[in-house]
Order: sequence, then C-alpha cells, then structure tokens
Amino acid sequence: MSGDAAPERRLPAGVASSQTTSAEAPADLLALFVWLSPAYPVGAFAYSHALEWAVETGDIRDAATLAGWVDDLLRHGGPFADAVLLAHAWRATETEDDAALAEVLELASAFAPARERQMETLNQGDAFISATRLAWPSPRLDRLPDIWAGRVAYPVAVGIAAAAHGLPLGATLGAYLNAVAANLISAAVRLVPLGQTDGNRTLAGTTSTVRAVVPLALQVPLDRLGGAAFRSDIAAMRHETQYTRLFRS
Amino acid sequence: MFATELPFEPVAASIPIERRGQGRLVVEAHARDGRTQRGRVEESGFARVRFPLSGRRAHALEAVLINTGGGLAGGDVSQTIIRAADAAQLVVTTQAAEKIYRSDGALSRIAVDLSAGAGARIDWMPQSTIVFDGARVERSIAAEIAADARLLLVEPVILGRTARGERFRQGLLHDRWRIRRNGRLVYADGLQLEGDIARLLDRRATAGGWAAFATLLLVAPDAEGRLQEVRAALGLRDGSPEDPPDTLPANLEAGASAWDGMLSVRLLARDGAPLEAAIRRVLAALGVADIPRIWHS
Repeated sequence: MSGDAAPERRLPAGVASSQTTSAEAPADLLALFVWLSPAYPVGAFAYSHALEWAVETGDIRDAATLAGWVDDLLRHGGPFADAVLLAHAWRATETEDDAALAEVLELASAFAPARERQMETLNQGDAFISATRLAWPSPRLDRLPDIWAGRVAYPVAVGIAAAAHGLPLGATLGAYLNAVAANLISAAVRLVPLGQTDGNRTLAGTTSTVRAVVPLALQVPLDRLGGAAFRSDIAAMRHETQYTRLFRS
Repeated sequence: MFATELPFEPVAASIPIERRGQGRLVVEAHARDGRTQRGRVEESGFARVRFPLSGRRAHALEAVLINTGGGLAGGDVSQTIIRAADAAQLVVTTQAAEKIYRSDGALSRIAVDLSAGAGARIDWMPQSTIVFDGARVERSIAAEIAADARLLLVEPVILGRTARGERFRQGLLHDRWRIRRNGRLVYADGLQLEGDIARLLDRRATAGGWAAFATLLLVAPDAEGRLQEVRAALGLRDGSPEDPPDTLPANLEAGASAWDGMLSVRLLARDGAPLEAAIRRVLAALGVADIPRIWHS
C-alpha cells in the first residue's frame, strides 16, 4: 500500500490518492479484493464443499440447477453459518472481547457435519492466518495464539483480519460470500462441465442472493447458528468415498 | 417407534396459558459392583421416568422417559438432566414418540443436558419427535463427557404427521447441539427452520421435499474405527474400485463420516418407516444389540 518507490502521479481534483488517510477517503476495500481473490494462498480451489458429489448424483447438471444449489447453500447451508461466524469474529475483534472471540473460535472449529467439511474450513483458515500475519501484519493477528491455541476456521480468520485492519463488516461479509460462491461456481464449471458464459451468468445472478443474505447473517446470534442443508451435509459425507475425485471436499 | 396415528387430538390453541406445562426430570446413575443403579431421581410437572424390569441388562440401566401430558403444546417447557457417574452405563429412551403440537404462537422449549463421567456410557435414543404443522419449538441438546466416556445420540425427527399426508409447512424448529469432551467443544450443530418451511424443505440442497431425518452421533475412543461397518450396514459403498455400488433403498439418503473421536450418521427419508429401518441397521452395526424393549411395542 506504500507508494514510496513510485513517483507521485498528479490526480484530477476530487480524486483521492492512495496516500490519503483513511479518515478522508471512502472505505478502502483493497485488502478484501486481495484476501478473497482466488490467488490468495489458502488453496480454496482444492475444495468443492461437496459440490463434486452433487454433480455426480445429477443434482447439479446445468446452470439452473447450479444456481439453485448455490442459492440454497448461501441461505441455508455451510456458507450462511460461516457468514454468521465471520460477523461474530469481526465484532469480538473490533471490541477486543477476547472471551467472545475464543467462544467463536471454538464453536467454528467444532461446527462441522463431516470430516471433510471440518478440514475444508480449518485448512483454509490456518493458511489465511499464516499468509495474512506475514503480508498484512497487525498486533491483533499476532495476539491470536494467546486467545486460542487451536486451529482457526476460515470465516473466523477472515473476520478477525478484517476487523484488525479496519475493514467494514458488511463489505467483508459480502466479499466473503461472493468469493465462496465464485469458488463453488468455478468448481462446477469444471465438473459439470459448463461454459464460461454460463458460469459468469450464474455468478452474476448469485450477487443478488449475497446482497439479500448479508443483512440476515448480521442478525443471527451464535445460539441460532445453523441451517437446513441436509442433502449438502450428506453429500459432504458421500464425497469421502466418491470414486473419482478432483477436489478435497 | 414411529407411530404417527394418535389416539386423541388436543388442540393447543384451546389450552389456556395457565395450564401450559413444565416438566423437569433429573436422573442420576451410579456404578456398583459392575452393575448400574439409579441414584437421585427428581420428577416434576409432566415428566416421569420408569426403570422397567424388562429393560434390565447385564451392566446397563434402562430409563424410559414419560411425558404424562402426551406431547408438548406451545409454551410447554421440558427439561431433562441425565448424569452417569464414573463407569455407569445408562440407556435412555422414551415411552412414545414426542409430539409437538400446533402452537398459537408461543414457543415450546426442550432442553436435554447429559453428562458422563470417566468410563461411563450414555445411549440417548428417544423415539421420534413428531413436529405437527404449525408447531413452534426450540430444542437444545448439550452433553459433557469425560475423555474416555462413550456417548451415543440417536435423534429421529418427523416433520408433519406424514401418515395423514400432513407436512410441516409453517412454524418454527430450532435445534442446537453442543457436545463437549474433556471440557473441549468437539461437535456443534444447528438446524434452523422458520418461515415458509415447506418451500424451504423442497429445495434440492435441503431436504428435497422429504419429511424425516435423523442424526446419529457416537463419541467414543473407538468411534472412528466403526465407520466401515456403519457404511456397510447402510448400503453405502466404501470407495474402493472393487466395492459394489450403493444398495440404499429408494426412499432413503444417508451418509456417514468419522473424525476427531466421533462417528456421525445423517439420514434423510421420505417418511418414518425407512428412517426407522436405517436406524436399526446402524445400531446393530454399532453393537447396540439391546435396542430398548419399548421400541418393539
């Protein structure tokens, strides 16, 4: 983010430069674009959240069934619960409530219906914390091992980092869910297979679901964490013994 | 076990607030000379417990829970506390399917609180919970067990009185599971059904329109080692190339997974009958040969 090496470029009046302090500029969301891009080293591409099994059974076979499945997950499945966990982690970090943060960390690490679902969230979460502590250091990230000795679930890792760097919760949630949806759709494009245009249309359609889900996730207390994605959970179990697999979940 | 025809049909909306029930039950069990005996028992409100002679086993004590109210109406509160002291072995079931009646708006609350000491064992296997259309119920299942204890949870739920074609279309069902072993949370789960529930359950990634589901969770030092037998009992293929294809019945979906000293089975069925059959197959594979007698009646 530092512009030390490059010569300052003159900007037209009214356009904030990257040197402007955050108090004057509109919310700077660049870190979110980096953290939640497919290039960030959490290995998201290796996980399909059991979508691979849903393709095997024919539950997902074209753009329409893909859109329906992703919509179900965003509203009632793992991604919705993850959004709720992210929000609680963000708030506990923001208010420096270590006890509340420890509770979210513990709950998130245990909240998995099957082995691969736990692996999917903990592997990405640990990788996210490692990469972010090095490249985007923050005292709040460095303090994490004092609060929780266990592994870190992915949405909780993102929530902590976002709060540590002053990124707004609503935008973080939207970016997170969008990245999850994009990853699922990218997996389906390869598995079904679908054309890139179908994949892009599906992703575009999903953004309206993300917009609708963010305010809902913000309201859910930890005691009400959950969903109703029975068949997605069973798919996660069945994926363990799927004969031909490209994905780790 | 999954009787959905009822001898009577109370209308919850007509029950005045002051007659709404509370039931609280505490059962403690202790190990004495290689057998398990009942300890402190507290019954209040509609909650009762019996320890039938027919349920006596070599080591375990069988407790049969009874709701004298015949089910839960809106506003009813049921609390069950089960304590198995060190080395005690307790099998807990219910006398009948628990019916959650249509509510006039008030929530029914169910809280189950289990604890098992060192080397203790609790098999929590109630008969099905039948959720009537319009019911509003919040349930919490919490357990705290020692590192070497064994906990089996079997919780079948039928949404709507399927035998008469009823669906759980609207109402509320919140279910929260929190299992701690040696002080650490090892398993957490949550079900949230609210709003236009029929439409929600029709979705492909949710229930695909089916009405019966169950989670079986085994937390035990040897739990993970039982995965293969459980998959075989359900008719699920094992993943090896020479393995035969699935032999699941057409009206059942099932999955099993094991991790972190636990084995979890999820079942989804069109209605109660295939769900019950699958539960019996899994219990047999888990070595729970002594299914509570009351299930046979």
